[in-house]
Amino acid sequence: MLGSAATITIAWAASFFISQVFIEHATVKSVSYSLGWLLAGGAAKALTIWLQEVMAVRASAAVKLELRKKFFEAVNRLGPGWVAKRSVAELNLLATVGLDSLDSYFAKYLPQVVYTALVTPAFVLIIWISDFSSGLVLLLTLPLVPIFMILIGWATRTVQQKQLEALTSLSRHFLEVLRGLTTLKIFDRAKSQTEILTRVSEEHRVRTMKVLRLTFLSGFALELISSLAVALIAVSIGLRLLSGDITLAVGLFVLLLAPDAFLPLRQVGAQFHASADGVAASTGILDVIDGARAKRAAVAAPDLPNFELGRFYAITGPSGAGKSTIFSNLLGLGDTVPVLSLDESAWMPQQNKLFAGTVVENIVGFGVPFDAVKLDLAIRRAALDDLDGLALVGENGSSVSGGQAQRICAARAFYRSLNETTKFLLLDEPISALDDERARVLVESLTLFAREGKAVVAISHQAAIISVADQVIEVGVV
Amino acid sequence: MFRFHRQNIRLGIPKNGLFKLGLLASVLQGLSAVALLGVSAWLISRAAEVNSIVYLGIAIVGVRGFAVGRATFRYLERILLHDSAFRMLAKRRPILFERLVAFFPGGIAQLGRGETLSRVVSDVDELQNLPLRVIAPLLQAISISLASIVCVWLLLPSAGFYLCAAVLLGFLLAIPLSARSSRQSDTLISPLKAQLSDLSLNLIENQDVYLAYGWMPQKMDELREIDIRLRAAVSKTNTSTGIGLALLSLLATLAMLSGAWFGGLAVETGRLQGVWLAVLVLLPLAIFELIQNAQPAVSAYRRYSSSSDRVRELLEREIPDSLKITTGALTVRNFESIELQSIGVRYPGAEVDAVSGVNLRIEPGKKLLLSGESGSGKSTVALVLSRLINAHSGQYSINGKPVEQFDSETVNKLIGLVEQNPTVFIGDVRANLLIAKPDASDPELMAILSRVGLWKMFESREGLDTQLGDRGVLISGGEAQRLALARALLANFQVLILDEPTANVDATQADRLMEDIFEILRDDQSRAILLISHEGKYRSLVDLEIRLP
Repeated sequence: MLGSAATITIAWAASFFISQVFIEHATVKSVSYSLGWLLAGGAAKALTIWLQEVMAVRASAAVKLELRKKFFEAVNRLGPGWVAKRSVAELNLLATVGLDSLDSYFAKYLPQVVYTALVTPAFVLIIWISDFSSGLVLLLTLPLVPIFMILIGWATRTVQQKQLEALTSLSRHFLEVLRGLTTLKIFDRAKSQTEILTRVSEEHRVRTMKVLRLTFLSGFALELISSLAVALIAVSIGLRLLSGDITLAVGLFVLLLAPDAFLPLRQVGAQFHASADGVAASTGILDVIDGARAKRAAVAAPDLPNFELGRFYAITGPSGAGKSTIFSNLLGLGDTVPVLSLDESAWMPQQNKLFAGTVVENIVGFGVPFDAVKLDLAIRRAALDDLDGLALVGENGSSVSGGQAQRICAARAFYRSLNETTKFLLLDEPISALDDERARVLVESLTLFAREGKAVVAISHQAAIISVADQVIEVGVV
Repeated sequence: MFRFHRQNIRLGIPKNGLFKLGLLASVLQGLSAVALLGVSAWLISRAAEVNSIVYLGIAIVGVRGFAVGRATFRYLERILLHDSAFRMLAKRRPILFERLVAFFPGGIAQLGRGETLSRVVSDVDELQNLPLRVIAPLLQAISISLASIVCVWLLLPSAGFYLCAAVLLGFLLAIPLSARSSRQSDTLISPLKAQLSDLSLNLIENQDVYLAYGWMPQKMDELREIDIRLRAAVSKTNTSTGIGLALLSLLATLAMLSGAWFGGLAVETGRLQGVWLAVLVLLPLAIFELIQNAQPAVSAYRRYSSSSDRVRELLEREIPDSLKITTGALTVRNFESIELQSIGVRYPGAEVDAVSGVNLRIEPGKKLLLSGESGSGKSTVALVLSRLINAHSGQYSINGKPVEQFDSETVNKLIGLVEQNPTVFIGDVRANLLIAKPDASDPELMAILSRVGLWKMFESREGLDTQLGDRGVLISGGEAQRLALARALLANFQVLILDEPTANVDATQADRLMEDIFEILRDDQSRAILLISHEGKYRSLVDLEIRLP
């Protein structure tokens, strides 16, 4: 609002000064106060531009901060079972790049819409009051802008979608060829790819240009409407000045304001296109957030017995029978309501997940106080005899062997089990990567935990576990 | 701050007439925009002075013409510049590709740290921003500013001088400020964004453990903390962008002010006709709009130059000797023996040999097992045999003659490799098989698929049209391996090298797959097979085991 007031001040001050000096032959000194107004208007305009830039981004960053938090809370509520059905990369893209594309929506498009809604009628009104016929021209041409925008938007929407696809498909083609270059060389097809790449690029150019010709047409139409309206106003003012119907000051004033009446509307159009990505991304993010809010269907956990404390259960079955989702479902991390309390359980998932840090940190957690006696016991029970507690583990366990990674994860579950609150110890294929001797130690520890009063449940197809379990549950057997 | 490499700029400039026409349209567009305001101002002033339309005729035509011109030239500019940029990209992609071919697969590690293939692809796409977002807006702003300054100078030197000063300040102050903010965004924002992305990926990937062990709240706090730091960095960067824009707007007002002051004084003393006063006052508005449009050019150039740096570096890189595949005149249809004698191979840039002193003799119909610990160089031997890398010592001979004497294409047709991770291309089964034999008929493809035991599965889906997905996500690891085998059978290699065919298969299914493969290959007695495996247990399937130390 301050910005448009400044624009109006600048236009008025300049027109007044010119007409005074030129027509009324006033001295520059006598009307220099109008130049003061010009300067003040200019300063105010600069200030608003700066404020707008800073505030808009700040507001958008605040929205993003909140949305990102909500998004992850939703993902956590939906749980690993839900994540497993999606691509991790795609979710990460939503949480990062997807949220960033909201910037153009929140920082540019929304403020522009509000600004236009406030400012355009004010400008039209001021021009209308100053010069009736120019106001009429504006009133007749201004609505053409949104009408054309909408019409052209409709006409080009599908084409633009195609263009986007074509664009990604070209990059993807190039990437595919590079990725499979060794294979192509083996089959002696690398040389022919140069030709194919040239052809695909050329086809892509032809297709894209066809789309762009149409897309840019919308810009052309809008630009033409606004510049013709300005021309129309300028000529009509000129003609009416001839007959002395209006004064030069009013004429110049209207001429200066007319483009500014169109500018916000045209910018809304431009920002709308820029923010289309953001809108798509926000739909994706809001879908996830809403999805988590919807109450989860209370599907019963798979047909399993009530696990009794102090017993050792083995779950076995053919691969692909859905053994891996049993635990996350039991804990309510999948699509089902929890059967076991997460707080009372220690779970070792099948994938051995390790984090950058020391072995001890990987077992007890990062930056938390720990009980050295229990840690020592957990390490011994997990047969983690070949690693120093302070040894560093790389991201994703890059510096330890597969067997060591499995035993660190077992120690993590054991450490959590060494207290009163944990009643259930759930392990998914705990000895699949271990040598026979260490596997024996680990299985012994499992029976020990059961004897100490925990309910121990292990998914495994290995005899070393199945043979010592108190009860064997077969799943997925027809 | 900038590295203006001439070659760097040359890389992104379209060398075609369209580009020059596009630049011309861009300049004309800027001219029309400035002239529309200037002529309108003159027209109105003149109309206030005279009393007949006769004096206004040309100006009225001019106003209408420039109004149409502004929109038309803008359209032409965008079309011509985009077209020329796309033509330029269509030339660059194949050239880069041809350079890269030699580096696969032995030299990929050498492409540099973090230099992923998708990075190469997006770097090439980025080249279009030099003509579109750097050259065109800058040229427009500079040429129109110059032209306007000259016109104003001719009208009134003092006004011209101050307009010139304001424009120079605009270019020297406001535009570098935008460069500053883009540099800040590189140093402050990008690392934070990378951190945020890493952590967010980490959160999603390890969600089960974090939830199960109650570590999630701590991780969420970490995420929030990075997000808050990011917000601070963004608003800091944006402050300088905002100051740049505000400065430009202020300079525009000052230029108007100086036009009004000196113009007014000149009118007062009769040195300037009053009708030109409005032109002097209003022109700066239009000029500064063009300068403002050119402001993002600096950050666009920064992005362009880091991309073009990398592309140019790839284009200019020397092909190491180990990857220069020499080719001779001899052709080979059938072979009696293929022999490696004390072969040593070193990858480009490596300190030590990947393998040394390898001896191997392949004869028609023989099945060999090449075994050894992981890292012992088994796959390297496969690359040497497939002529994808040169040995620096020892002798590689076919039928007793050095391999360099043979046309490398005929060697490629003779010896085939099924890689450890065979590429499954996006697209359908048919397209994936036709790579091996472009003129194969559908029945031929179906027959091959039946042989490798895949046809039943594909038949139940969409036959040869079955889509395999990105990186073959729609089929299993074992199926991908069988598909690769089908591809190799279709190419009818006489020597087939199988590199760890069970690497991507569950342990329980590995043995079955391996037995199947040998069953499938049994029918052709003349074909030689070299199986590469770190597991010695498959030696019962072959005639001879060669163990690498």
